[in-house]
Amino acid sequence: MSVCSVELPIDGQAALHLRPFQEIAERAAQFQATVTISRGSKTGDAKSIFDMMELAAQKGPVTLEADGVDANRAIRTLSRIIRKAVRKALKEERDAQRGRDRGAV
Amino acid sequence: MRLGDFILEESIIGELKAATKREVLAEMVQSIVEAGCLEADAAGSVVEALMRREEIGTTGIGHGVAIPHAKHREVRRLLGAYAHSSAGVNYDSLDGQPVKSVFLILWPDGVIGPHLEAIAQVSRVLKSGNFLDRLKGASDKREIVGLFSATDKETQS
Repeated sequence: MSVCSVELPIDGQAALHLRPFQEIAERAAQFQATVTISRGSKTGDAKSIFDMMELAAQKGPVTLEADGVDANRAIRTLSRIIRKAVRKALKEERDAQRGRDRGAV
Repeated sequence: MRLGDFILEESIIGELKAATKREVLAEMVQSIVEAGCLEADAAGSVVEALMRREEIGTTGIGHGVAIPHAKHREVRRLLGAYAHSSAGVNYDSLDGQPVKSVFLILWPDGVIGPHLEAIAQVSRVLKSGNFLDRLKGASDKREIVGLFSATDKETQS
């Protein structure tokens, strides 16, 4: 058995959306290890879509913890998904800001 | 945030007539029009925005629940609707199960984030006790309103 954890610093106030949570829950379910994700004041089971959705409005760094034979692999895979989702969320924020600057509603 | 902050009471549908995903979205958007919160001529375009989001990835998250959502320039504030289907609708859900409970969320284009609070509250109530089982069995509008109101009180942190 192995335990593995990582904290992912996230720039700005990037929010994670439903899509990455679906992907996280689906991928997490493929590992034997238990995996929890924490953000802000919430901690949830990465294999539960409802737990993941509850993290939707939280801000700040994301902490992943895995416990089990494939913990390292689970952390690597889920970190990659989260980093990609954060890049996309930040881009959407920038695009929305540009829209507001142009006077769009 | 409570369910009652964004789900319009007039847009709670006890029993859907719709049999397909597109029909579900159209029926729910029409209920928002009838509640006076969306211009009738914007309804078609809002349904298309919701369908485009579904094409990226289904919002049928499993357990008989779907949370279709989209931003749209004709939407003035965070809005929600709820609909129930006793028979269940084929929604291309993640777990392949028919959908019986649909939470639809709309918010203004150019605004990031308000729907995330709404999604977080929906997930909080769905995890709460036997709420989801009771909700999937509820086809009476007054019963659904009562369930929302009771669970909003229980899940306020």
